[in-house]
Amino acid sequence: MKKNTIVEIISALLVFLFIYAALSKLLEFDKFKYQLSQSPFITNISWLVVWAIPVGEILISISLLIKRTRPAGLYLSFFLMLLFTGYIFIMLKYSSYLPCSCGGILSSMSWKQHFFFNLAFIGLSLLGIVMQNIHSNEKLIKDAVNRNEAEHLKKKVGV
Amino acid sequence: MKKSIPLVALAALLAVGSAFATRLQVQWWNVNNPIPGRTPGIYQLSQDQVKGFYCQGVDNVECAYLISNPIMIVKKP
Repeated sequence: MKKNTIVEIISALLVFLFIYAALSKLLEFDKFKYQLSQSPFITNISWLVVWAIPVGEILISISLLIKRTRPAGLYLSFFLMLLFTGYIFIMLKYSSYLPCSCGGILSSMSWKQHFFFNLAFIGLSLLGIVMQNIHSNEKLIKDAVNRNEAEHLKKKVGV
Repeated sequence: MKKSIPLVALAALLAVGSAFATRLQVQWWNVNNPIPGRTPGIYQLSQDQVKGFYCQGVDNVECAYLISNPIMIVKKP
């Protein structure tokens, strides 16, 4: 499979996850807002987080949809998933109770399932970044070779 | 590249559709309190019929108000 195709598939999976998650939160905004305000570690900044998460997810999805901004989108996806997973890890380890602030079908997962689900997406984002970098480097080398060949031909023909 | 752009765009469209479809998905709810015309029991309700909220102190149990009758509390069995 071409590296570019792998990056496309990973980007599509991330876009699906982020748009679905963002819309689920926005469609049940009151519930999401209340659940987040109950979260022991972010109670004080829940008013900010409640908007920042869905907006951030939508912005990352847009960056993944546009070819030019896709590499940045992959890095942002990786860091966002890392942040979510870190939060789940802290909640599982230190929180006395676990209010779920996820939306849609994702809310039917347990916190542990959610943790491993996120780990899988961290792995996917990382794979996407690696493949994107390899693809970009190969393209640069290919362009340089083509330029050299063109120069060589020009010299040979005497243009 | 021309092939790949529609794939990501298709994923975005699917996600939008799925998010709205999940809201219409029917779930089983245990109606604890008596509702006029209904006896307490387990009913099938879609997510647009209930307004969910967080049940303090109870993990993995969802609580919600019935939109048609806001004083009633329903719980997932």
